[in-house]
Amino acid sequence: MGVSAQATAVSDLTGSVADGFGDPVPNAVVSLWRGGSATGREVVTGRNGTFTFPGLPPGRYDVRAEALGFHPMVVRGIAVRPGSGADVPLRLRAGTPPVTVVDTMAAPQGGPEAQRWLEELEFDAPADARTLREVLGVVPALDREMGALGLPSGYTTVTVQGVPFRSATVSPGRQDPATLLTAGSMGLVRVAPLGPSGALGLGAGGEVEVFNPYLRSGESELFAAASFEPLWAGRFETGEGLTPSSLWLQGRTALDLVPDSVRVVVGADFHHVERPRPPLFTQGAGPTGPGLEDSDVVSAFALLDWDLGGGSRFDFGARVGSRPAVKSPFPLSWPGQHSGLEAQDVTVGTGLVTGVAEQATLSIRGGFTRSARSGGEESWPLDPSSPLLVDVASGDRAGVAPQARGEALRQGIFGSVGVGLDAADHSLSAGLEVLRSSHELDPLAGSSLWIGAGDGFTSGWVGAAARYENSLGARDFAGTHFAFSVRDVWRPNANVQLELAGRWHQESLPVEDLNPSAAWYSLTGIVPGEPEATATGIGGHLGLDWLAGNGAVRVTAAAGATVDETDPWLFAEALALDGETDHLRVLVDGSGSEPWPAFPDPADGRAAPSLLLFPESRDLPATVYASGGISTRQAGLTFGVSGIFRRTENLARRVDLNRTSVPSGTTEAGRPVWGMPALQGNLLTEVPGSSRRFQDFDHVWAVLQDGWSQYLGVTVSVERREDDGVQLGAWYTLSRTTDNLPGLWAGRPELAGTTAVPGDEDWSEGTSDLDVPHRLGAVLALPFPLLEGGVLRSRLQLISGRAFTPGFRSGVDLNADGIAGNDPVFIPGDGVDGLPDRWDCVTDSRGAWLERNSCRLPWIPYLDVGLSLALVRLGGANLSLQVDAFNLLQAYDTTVDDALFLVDPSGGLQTDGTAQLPSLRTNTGLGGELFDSRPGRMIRFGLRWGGGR
Amino acid sequence: MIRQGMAGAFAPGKGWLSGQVAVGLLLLGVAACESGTANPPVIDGVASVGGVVYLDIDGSESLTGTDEPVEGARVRVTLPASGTEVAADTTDDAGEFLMEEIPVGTVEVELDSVTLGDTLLAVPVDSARFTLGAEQTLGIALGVTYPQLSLAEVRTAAAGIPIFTQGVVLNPRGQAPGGAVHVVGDSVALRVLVPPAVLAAIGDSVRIQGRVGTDLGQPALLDARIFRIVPGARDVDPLTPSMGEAAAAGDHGLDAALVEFTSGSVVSEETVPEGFLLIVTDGTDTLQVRLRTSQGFINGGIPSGAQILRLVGLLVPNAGEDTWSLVPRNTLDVRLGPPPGTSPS
Repeated sequence: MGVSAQATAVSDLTGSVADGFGDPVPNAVVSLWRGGSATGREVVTGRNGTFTFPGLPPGRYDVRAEALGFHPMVVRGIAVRPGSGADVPLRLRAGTPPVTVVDTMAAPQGGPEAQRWLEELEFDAPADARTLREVLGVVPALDREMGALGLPSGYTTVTVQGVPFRSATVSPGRQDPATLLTAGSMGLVRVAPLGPSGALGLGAGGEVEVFNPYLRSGESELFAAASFEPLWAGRFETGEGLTPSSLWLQGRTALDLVPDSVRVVVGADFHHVERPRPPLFTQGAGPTGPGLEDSDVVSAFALLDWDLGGGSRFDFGARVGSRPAVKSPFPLSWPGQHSGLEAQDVTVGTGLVTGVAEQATLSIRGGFTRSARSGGEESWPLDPSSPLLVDVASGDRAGVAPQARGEALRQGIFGSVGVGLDAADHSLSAGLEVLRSSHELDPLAGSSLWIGAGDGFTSGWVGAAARYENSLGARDFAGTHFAFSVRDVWRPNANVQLELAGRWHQESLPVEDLNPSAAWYSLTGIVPGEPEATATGIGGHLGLDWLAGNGAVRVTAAAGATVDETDPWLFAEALALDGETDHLRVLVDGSGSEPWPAFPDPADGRAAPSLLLFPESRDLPATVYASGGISTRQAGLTFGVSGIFRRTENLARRVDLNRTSVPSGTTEAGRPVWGMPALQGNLLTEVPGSSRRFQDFDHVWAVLQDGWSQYLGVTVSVERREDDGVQLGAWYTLSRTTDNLPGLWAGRPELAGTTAVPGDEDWSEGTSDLDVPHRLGAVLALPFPLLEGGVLRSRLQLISGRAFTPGFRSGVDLNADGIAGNDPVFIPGDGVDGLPDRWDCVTDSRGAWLERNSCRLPWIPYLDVGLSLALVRLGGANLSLQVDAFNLLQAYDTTVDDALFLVDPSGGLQTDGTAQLPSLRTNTGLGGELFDSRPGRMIRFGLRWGGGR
Repeated sequence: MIRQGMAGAFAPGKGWLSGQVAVGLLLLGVAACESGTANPPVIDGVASVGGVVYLDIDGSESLTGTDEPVEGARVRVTLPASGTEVAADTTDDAGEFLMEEIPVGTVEVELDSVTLGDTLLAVPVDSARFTLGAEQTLGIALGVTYPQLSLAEVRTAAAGIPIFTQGVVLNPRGQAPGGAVHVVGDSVALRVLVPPAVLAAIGDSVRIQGRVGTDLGQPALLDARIFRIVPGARDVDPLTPSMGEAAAAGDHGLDAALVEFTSGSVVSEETVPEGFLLIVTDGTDTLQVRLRTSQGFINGGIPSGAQILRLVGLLVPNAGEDTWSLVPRNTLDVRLGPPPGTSPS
C-alpha cells in the first residue's frame, strides 16, 4: 500500500545541501516531486545551504539537488508524515553537470583511425535509464561498435569515482546514489575524443559524455553553433579555400501535458559536417574532385513521464538516430565494398514503478533496442593516381592492409523486475533481468591486400591478397542473458556508508549451431568436447565511504569483481569458419593479373578452409578491481589521492593450430621460420600454404581464454571551488596498462597468441598498446572580467605519446607463418646502423628481442578554451553566446612508421642460420609520419537559449 | 587428445601487481568470479609410416614378386614445401622400414638420395604427398632402380656404372664364347656376360641389369643378370653384311650382332683347341668362323672351296686383335655345299 495523500495536515520538508566535506553549498537548485510525479516545486538554498518546502501534504517525495560544479543528486521516497515533516541532508559530489565524464582509460590514443571513428560514433543509452548502471550499459555497446569497426572491443573501461566499469552487466551494487539521475535523464551518450570534441570535461584520456536532457517543467533549451577549422592540418586537404566546418543544432523542451501528472520531454540534434574529401575517392560514383564532403548526423528523442497516482509512475522513452557513411581514406577496401560505415539506431524503453507497501517498491521495466551498422551502399572506386596510394607503393613503403568488417545488426529485448526495501539503516534492493539479443554479424567481410611494389597500382604490381571465399555473409544468432542481483546500502551513522552487492549472471549461446569440421578432428586426433551452452559468472562489490576527522578527510574504498559476456563477434566468427569457408591467398606476380584495384584471379591462388574452434569450456571474461582514495580540504583547496587497480582475465586470444609441426629453418638469432618465404618486391610473405601442417586447411584457430589486461593507476589532484566563481583543478595520473593482447587495438585478434620469441614464453606480455603512463590535466574556470555573467573556461592536458613496437612493414611476414605483423625484431649486438640517437628504446636492446611497445611517441598536448556570455533574458530564459576554441595547440595523433627494418628487394633470399630470409636494411624514417589526419584548430560560435541557470 | 591444464586463475603477468595480489583481492573482495584458462589444444596425434624399398627389377614401377628388397636405403618423411625432415629410417635386409611417432600432418615420403649413391635412382611415383591422420599407419613401397639405358647408350656409357637395359636374346648362354649372351635392341647388339644357369632363349625379350664394362676389347655388360620379360617375344632376323664388314665389325656397328651369309666359300680349315677354324670369303674379305666342338661341330675336314649355303652366327671380337670371328650358335647355323665341280658329300 502506498502512503495516502488525503491527510489534511501539512508539514514542512527541510534540508541542507553540502559538499563532500560537509560544507554548505549555497545557490543550489532543489526540486521536489511528490511520489514520483513529474512536476514539482523548486527552491534555492541560502548561504548556509539550507532549504525549506513549507506546507506539504503528507506523502512520499523525491528531492533533487543540483548545483554548479556538482553532480546532481536525487533522494527518493522521503516520507512526510502529518505534523512531523522531514529533514533531508544532501551531500553533493563534485562534478560538472549536466555532463558526466567517464574515463575510457586512454582509449582514443590508438591512432587517427580510431580517433576518427570515435569522433563519429554515437551510442545510445537506454532511453529509460534512471541509474548509473543503465547509463553504463552503453559501454558494451561501445565495445561492440568498436569491434564492428575493427577496433578493439571489450576494452573500454569506464571509471566513475575510481571504480572501473567495463560491462553492460554492471552490478547494481555499483550504483552510486549520489549520481542517480532522474527518469529519462539519459538521452544521448556520445563518445568524445580529445581535441575538437566540444567537451570540456576533466577526464584523462578519452571521455564519454552523458548529456542529460533533464529539464524542469516548461523549460526549453536551444543551441545553435557553427564551427570552422581554418587551420586544418591534414595532409589530404584538397585545395585552397576548403575550410572544414560544421553546424550544430540542438533543441529540447519539456511540456507538461497534464499538470502534476504527465510530462513530455522531446529533443532533437542535427549535426552537419563538411570535411575535405580524401583524394583517394576522386573517381567514380558520388562527388568527385576536390571538395568538401557532407554528412548529416541526426537524432531525436522523446520521453514521457506519467504520474499514475498512488505512488505509481509510468515512463516511456524512445530515441532514433542515423548517421550516413562517410568516405574515409583508411582502411582501404576493395572497390565495391565498403569504405564507410553508416548507422541507424532505435531504442525504446518503458517502465512502471509502484509502491507495494510503505517502504517497498516494485518496478517492472522492458524495452527494445536495435542497432544497425553497415558499409556504405555506394561503391567508391579509388583513384589509382592518388598520392596516398602512390605513397604506399613507392619506395620502401610496402603494405596496405584493408580491413572491412561488414554488416552488423544487433537487436534485443530486455526486461527486468525489481523490488526495493528501505528498513532502518539499510536500503535493500534486488532484481531479476533478462535480455534476449540477436546478432547478424559478418566477421569475414572484406579483403586484404599487401603491396610490395607496383607501377602506380595500375598494372604490374607485386604483392599478396587474401579474402574469404564461399562465405555465406552475416551469421545470425541469438543469445540470452539472465541476471539476478541484490544490493544493500548500510548507513550505520551519518559519516559512514557501506555498500555490499552481488550479481549472478548467466549467458546462453546457441552452441548447437556450431558445426566443427569432423575432418579436422579426425585427422588431428583431437576429441572435441561438447561446447557449453551456458556460462555463468558471479560478481560482487564492496564499497566504503567514510567522512573522518570531523569531516576534514574523506576516505573511499571499493573492491569487487565483474563478469562480462562473450564477445558476439567471436561467436559469429566461429559460426562462419566451419570448414566450408575457404581462405583464399594469392601471390600477385604482376605479370598476368588484372590491373589493380581488381582482385587477382582466384585461380592463381590457394584456397583452403579456415576453422575457428570455439572454446568448449567457456570462461567469461572476469574483472577484479580495487580502488581507494583520500581527500582533504585545506585553505579552500581540496587535495586528493586515489588509486585504481583493475585486472581482467579470460580474454580471448587465439593460436594457429595448423602451423607445421617443426619450422623449416631457424635464423641465427633463433627465430623459427615456418613456411617458405616469398619475396614480393619489398614485401615478404609465405608461399601460400607452405606453413600449413595439414594442407587441406588454412588457419585453424583455437580460441584461448588466457588473455589478460591490467591497469594500475594513481592520481593526485587539487581543486579549488569557491563562491567567487573561480574554479581551478589540476590532476596528474601515473598509470601502467599491461596485457598480453598485441594487435587487439589494430583489430587483428590473430596477433594475440601467435607470437613467439626464442627463450621468451610469451612475447605478447608487456606494455599494452593502450598504455598511457602520464596524464596531466588542468582546468580553469573564472568569471569573464569584462562582462557580467561571463565565464571563461580552459582545459590543458598533456598525455604521453602512444607506445609502439618497432618492427617490420605492414604485411611483412618474416617468419612465414601466414600471419603478417607478429614478428618481433631482433636488435643485433652491434646495434642498428643509421638510426637517429633518439631511439634509445631500440639501441638499449642490443643483442635482444625488442619488447612490445618499447618505444613511445612524444607527448601530446591539448588546449581548449571556451567563453560563455549571457546576452539577454529572453522569454524567461537566458540567451547566451558561447565561443569555444578547441585544440589550440594543434595536437594530433598520427599513423607512424613503425618499421625498424625494411626488406631489401634487391638482395633476394639469403641463408640466415638454417632459414631463408631476405636481407634487411634499417629504416631511418622510424617514427616518422606515415599518414597525417590531424585535425586543425577549431573555433565554434554558438548561441544557447534556455537552461535557466 | 586435448591437453588441458588449469593455469592459475590469474596467472602472473608483468604488471605491477602479481597474480597473487589479484587473487587476494578476489578473496577479500567480495566475490569470486569464475576463471580458468585452458591451454591450447595440442595436436599430439601421431602416425606411422612403414613399408619396403625394392629394386624395381622388372621396371614395372611397382612392387612385384620379381623385385628384390634393398637394404640400407634411408627413407625420409619431410614436410611439403620446405622439405624439413621429421623422421627417417634405414631399411633392413628385408628392405623394410618403419617410422613411428610421426606428428600428424601433410608429409612427403622419399628416399634419401645420399644412401642411394650415385647409381640408384628412386622410382618416380605419382604423388609422394600424404596426409597422416592420428593413429594411422601409412604403408608404402618405394622402388629404386638403376639408370635405364638403351643398348646403344650402354655401348658408349662410362665403364663401371650399373644400369638396366632391355633387348632380345640372340643366343642362349653357352652358344657364345665366354658365357656371353648376345642381345639386340633396335640395330645394336651387345655381349652380356652372365653367370651360368641363366635362362634365356633366342627371341626372349629380356631386362638386363649389369655393369658397363669391356670384354675382348669391346663394350659389354659384366656381372649381368637377365630377367625374362616376354619369352619368345619375336623372331630374330640376322643382319646380312659382307664378310669384309663382319670381319671389321667394330667399324660397322656390328659387334655382337647376329649375321647371316648365303654365299661365299671356304678358303681353308684348321684345327684349334675349341674345335675348327674356317676361313671363309665372299670376295670382299676373309672371315674367321669358329666351329666349336661344344656346339656339336665335331667333324672337320671341310674341303677348301666348299660353298656357303647358309652361315649364321654371332660376331665375336678376336682377343688381342681388331678383327671379329663369326661364331655359329649350333650346327643348324651352318650349311655348306661341295666345292664347285664336285658332288655333294
